[in-house]
Amino acid sequence: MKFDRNSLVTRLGWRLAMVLAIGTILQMAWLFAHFRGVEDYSEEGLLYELFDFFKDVAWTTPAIGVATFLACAAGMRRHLSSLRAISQQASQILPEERHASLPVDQAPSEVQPLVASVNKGFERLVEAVKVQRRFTANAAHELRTPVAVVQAGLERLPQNEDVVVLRREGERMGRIVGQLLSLARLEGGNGHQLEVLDAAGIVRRAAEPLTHLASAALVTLAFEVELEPLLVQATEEAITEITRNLVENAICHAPAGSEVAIALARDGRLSVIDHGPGIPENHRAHLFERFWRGPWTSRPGSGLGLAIVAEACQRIGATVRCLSTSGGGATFEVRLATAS
Amino acid sequence: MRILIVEDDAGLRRYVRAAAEEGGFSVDEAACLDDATAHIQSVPYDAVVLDLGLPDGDGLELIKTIRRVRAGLPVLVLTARDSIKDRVKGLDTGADDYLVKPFACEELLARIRALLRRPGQVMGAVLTAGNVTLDTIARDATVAGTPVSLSRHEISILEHLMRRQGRLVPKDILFDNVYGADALPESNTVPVHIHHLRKQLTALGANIEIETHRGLGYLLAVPKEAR
Repeated sequence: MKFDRNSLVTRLGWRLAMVLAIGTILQMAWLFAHFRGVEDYSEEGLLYELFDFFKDVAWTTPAIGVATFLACAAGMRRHLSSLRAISQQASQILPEERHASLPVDQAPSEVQPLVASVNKGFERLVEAVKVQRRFTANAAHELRTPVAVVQAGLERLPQNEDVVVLRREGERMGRIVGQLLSLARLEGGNGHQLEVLDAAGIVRRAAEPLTHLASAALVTLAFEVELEPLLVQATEEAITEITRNLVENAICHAPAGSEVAIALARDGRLSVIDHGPGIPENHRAHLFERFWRGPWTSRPGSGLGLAIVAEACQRIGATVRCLSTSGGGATFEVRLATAS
Repeated sequence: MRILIVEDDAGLRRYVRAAAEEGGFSVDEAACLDDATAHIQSVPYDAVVLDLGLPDGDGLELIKTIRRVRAGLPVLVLTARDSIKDRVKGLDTGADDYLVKPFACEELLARIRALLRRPGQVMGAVLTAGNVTLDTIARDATVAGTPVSLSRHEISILEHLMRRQGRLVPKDILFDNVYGADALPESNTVPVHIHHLRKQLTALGANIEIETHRGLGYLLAVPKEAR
């Protein structure tokens, strides 16, 4: 055991040692006074008597002291181990947790008030996070109609350069609002139990409406599937969001005339492959952060798409990484858990 | 063609109305469920554009009323809710199509037209896309006035693509529509027909393009300046 001044066991040790030392000094003093009063000893004789007394009887005092220390230390460590288990649990609480609380009964009764008030604190935090998320979802939801009005109004104005810029920004605003809602929905995912689903069908349904977007960007989509149906453990929402956001992102960066391929392998690997400029190795770590956009890109993105992908992957226990496409471009690979 | 727009936001109602009127529809407006119900019971509309979040209730309630009063009336739902759960619920209740806010008015009109062309509804006899026209009854097509020689299957393929221009026609749906749902996949010559169709159209200088999205389907794209 390493020495730690703040450890309860160390403190107990010091206290016991002090009590023992004072006790021994008092004992000695008493004996000294006692022998002194009874008979007339020389200095050597007195020391001899004291040594004799210690050898016969008084050695038990430090021995009992040491035994007490060991027993208390062992007991204390055992009781404290329940605290260690509780702190283990505390360290695993995630921001998504809906009912974060620590077991109060397992703690020693002296510590129970602490655990209970920590739980109260958690409750308040969980509530605050919930309110925050509901706020994001409601705000995004409420923004949809006004954004639609602005877009429709701009569509009807004479199309000069200013209006074209405003329309593009209006569309971007609409996309961000939609993505904020997606994110809020994924984070607040109530009752999103994993199911066994056909990933091929869901990816196909998610990709079909995106051909419209691809066509406008002069890009074609391709869907290659090794096995259909391909059963995976996931939610329909998560696979749809992953596909939609990865493909939109790829279309945004693919050069005109190129193809964006969506490949679904039988081992559950879902890849979205583009032939755009690709993503430098040193920027890949930030890719999935919210509102992060590559410094090299001038394309109008929201910076939310890949964050949604990361969130959706986390929901279903999938992993996502960014690779280079051979011959140039970016490939995003998501590993879905297959259900066999 | 007379349509009813049920939407509580006055701004959106105004623009949707303007776009629809420019698109050749005559338009009535309703701002709440009660108003809309009264309209539907008294006027034989061709289609209804319905916002789900209304001040006096859920638009889905109106769909139920519509299905009771006039089962065949096409309903296009406009909504701010777009989770998969909401979409399924909307279509289950009997909405014919679903458009999530915000949307382009162009897209809204295209969707309304697509609903009106559904079997059971009045069919538009002549379809146009860019400088290509297709007569759905005479079964022939022209590029800038010049007739194109196409087989029966090719006309049918072109018709489907033109009906959904700018949107994907999944390959299975195209196959089923051309050969019937019972045909064997081995008899799938859609790619061959598409190839021929493209060649014919390009030769005559058509300004539309049939895009192949491998593994998904085909999409008829009209260049912006040709619209």
